[in-house]
Amino acid sequence: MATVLADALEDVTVIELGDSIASAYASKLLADLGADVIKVEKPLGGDFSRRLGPFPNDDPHPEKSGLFLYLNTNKRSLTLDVETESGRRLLEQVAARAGVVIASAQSGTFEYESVLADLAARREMVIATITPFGRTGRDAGHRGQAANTAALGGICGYLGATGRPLLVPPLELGEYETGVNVAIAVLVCVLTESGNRIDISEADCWATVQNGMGVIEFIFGGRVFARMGRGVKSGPYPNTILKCKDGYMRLIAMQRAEWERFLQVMGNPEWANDPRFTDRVTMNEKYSDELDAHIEEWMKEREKDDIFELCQANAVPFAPIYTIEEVMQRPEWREWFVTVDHPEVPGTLQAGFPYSMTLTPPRVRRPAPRLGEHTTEILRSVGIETDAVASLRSQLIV
Amino acid sequence: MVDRSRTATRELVADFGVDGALSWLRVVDFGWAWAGATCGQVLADFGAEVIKVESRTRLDPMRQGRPLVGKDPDPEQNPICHNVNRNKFSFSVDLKHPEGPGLVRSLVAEADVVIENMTPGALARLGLAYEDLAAVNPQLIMVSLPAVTSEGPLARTRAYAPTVSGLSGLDSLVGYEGEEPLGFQQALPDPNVGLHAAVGVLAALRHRKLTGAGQYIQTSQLRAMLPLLGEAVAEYALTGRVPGTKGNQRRGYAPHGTYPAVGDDKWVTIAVSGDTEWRGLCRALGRPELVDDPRFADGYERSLNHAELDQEIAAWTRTRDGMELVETLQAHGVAAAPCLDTGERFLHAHFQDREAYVPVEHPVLGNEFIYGAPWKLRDSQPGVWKRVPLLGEDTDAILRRILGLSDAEVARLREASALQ
Repeated sequence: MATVLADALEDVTVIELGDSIASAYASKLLADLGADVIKVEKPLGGDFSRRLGPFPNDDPHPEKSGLFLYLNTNKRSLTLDVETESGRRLLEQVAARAGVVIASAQSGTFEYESVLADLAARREMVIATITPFGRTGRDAGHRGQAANTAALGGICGYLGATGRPLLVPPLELGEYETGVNVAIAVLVCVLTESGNRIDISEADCWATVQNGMGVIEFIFGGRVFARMGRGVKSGPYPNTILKCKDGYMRLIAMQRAEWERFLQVMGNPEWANDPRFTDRVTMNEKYSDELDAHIEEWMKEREKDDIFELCQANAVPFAPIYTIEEVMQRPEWREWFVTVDHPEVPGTLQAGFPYSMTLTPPRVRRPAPRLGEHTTEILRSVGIETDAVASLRSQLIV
Repeated sequence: MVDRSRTATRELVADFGVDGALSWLRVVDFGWAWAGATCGQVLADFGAEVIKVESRTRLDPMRQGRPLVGKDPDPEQNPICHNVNRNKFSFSVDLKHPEGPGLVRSLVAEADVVIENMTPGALARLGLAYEDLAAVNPQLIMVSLPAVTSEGPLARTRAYAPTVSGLSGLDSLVGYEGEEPLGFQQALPDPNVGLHAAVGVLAALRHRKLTGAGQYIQTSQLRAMLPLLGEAVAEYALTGRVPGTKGNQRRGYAPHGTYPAVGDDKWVTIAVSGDTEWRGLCRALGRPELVDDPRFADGYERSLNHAELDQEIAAWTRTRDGMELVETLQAHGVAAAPCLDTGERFLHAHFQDREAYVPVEHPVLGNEFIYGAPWKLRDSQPGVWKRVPLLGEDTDAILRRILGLSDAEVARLREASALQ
């Protein structure tokens, strides 16, 4: 008879330490799969994202920050001042019951390194640390934010228009990519039931699995890609973004047949017969402005969803650039969002889960915690009496 | 029921003297192009025996492209393929051949995980859908990761990572403040879905270990992008505002952006998140009076007056070397880093210390560098232990050693063109 588990990570306990999207997203992935994630927050003010918003009606409130509510759904909140000696001792007591610690810092040096070292020495635990540049290497001591790790990791070089400042990726994307890599390494250790120390660097994630494949071409051809605004003017035409009646379309055709079918969709226009427009690489390198203008002339009469439908019906892989509103309003994708009932912000739509699973689907078990909502129950579970919790609270240790 | 998955190292992996955290795991990997291949690469880096199922009759797009050496098309030269298919074994089989699907089913019967990102419905037409494969292997964990979706009217949508980037809303957020979208000019949806799929597979393996049950995981490039946009989703849900292009402005940071350094198109990034860092920046600039400038009094004012602030900073950075700027800023406690291109990253001392790029010997390209593992572990360090396989390089070994076929049977299949 098979055991039945509602969640894949039932009975995995994770302690989350540190103010970053990367640690919050890593532990969110685990919490959504059923792990009991205890988020440690500073007693005064709590997690950084409580102050960031976005807030309903732009009215700041520590329990209503959209970023906090999203990243911390399914977690419990424990307030604890780890900068005090008694705070650190309490953390050790709570962490002694957990299998996993996920900690982040803005540089390679951790203020609570001694706590992590004590935990690691006491029992077999999985301890993952997330830093901008890693725990080792020449620049390990450097401070960094998402913009800086994206820069070192090479992403900024692709973003922006020629002659203007490079752009950094929006929404701290690198923190999310780091978080998913942390979740991978932690899960391998949970699966093999082995304690371990994991060192993840946000810059490494950009420089390797996201963006590390160009090195071979650099060595062989010295080819270095530079930003080109809305398109890429190397390789076959088109690979760009063009304007239509109500927005923008993304055009890319890896196969010649896809381009030819698009010409048919446009009714085989006269200009396409120009002998200069034969080799698609030459077209892209030399004539893309001229070609862009021809296509925009056709597209300006048409709306993006009509072009999308027409292209797809003819196996042309062009697609609209949707705004966030349009993405959220497509009925076919509605199940990729979830509605979460938080006592302060009821019935809010959030980005959902990255995958579905037939037996143990990720799910919403509880809304994001209020600051310190679970402090008493968590401390009591490690044998601290209610009176003692009250005293700790008056000293602002919890 | 206790999980019956073996704990012994799989035989093809053992040949390489590898004993990784996942070396007991066998994966049948239909993952192709970039997205599908990344999921298997994650498992292979941790030592899993990942068998890439491919065919000369329908080449993986990542086996194609401009050759680096010589002029003729060569399936052994694609740089992305060398990165995302390292540590794997190649099994070439023609799935359109009458005996192809049967061979694959036999292989899946001996495996733990199947990964696929074919056009939705393609495997089902070959009798290789999850239901078909679970019938021969009830403990199987399978993951599908197409571009847009596996089901419904949009399952047939033709898309590549850049168009998925458009559909997801990400592209609408990249551009100069208030200007037209420039799009995210890097194929983020590809590696992103592969990584998320690996999380799902590992969680399902943990569940199987406790219950003995296999399951089916579904994601897509598009679906796996949406969790990254959670903040933008929240902004629309809570304020009704549609997020758009914001240049380099970010909630919670000011100043924040890229600033010119000496040289041709050289830039450094600076991100200031609080007053302590702001005072450090003023000292680094040699402009202590800016601390008391009412235009820049706090984060809110600095954000409001960012254009003037950015000019002040650029005036200082413009005449200085990027590396020097970063050292000066870091010495004053300011988060800063240079914007590197591919070559600079490869040669950068910090990335060399971190082994971000590791050398491998390849029969066609010779000595090459591919990216290393982003996960640094105290024990069972994952990494690169094998170059990308040549197309079909391991077919015979797989048929003989995993499926137990005789030399004569292998020869017959080859003769019958089933192994192309």
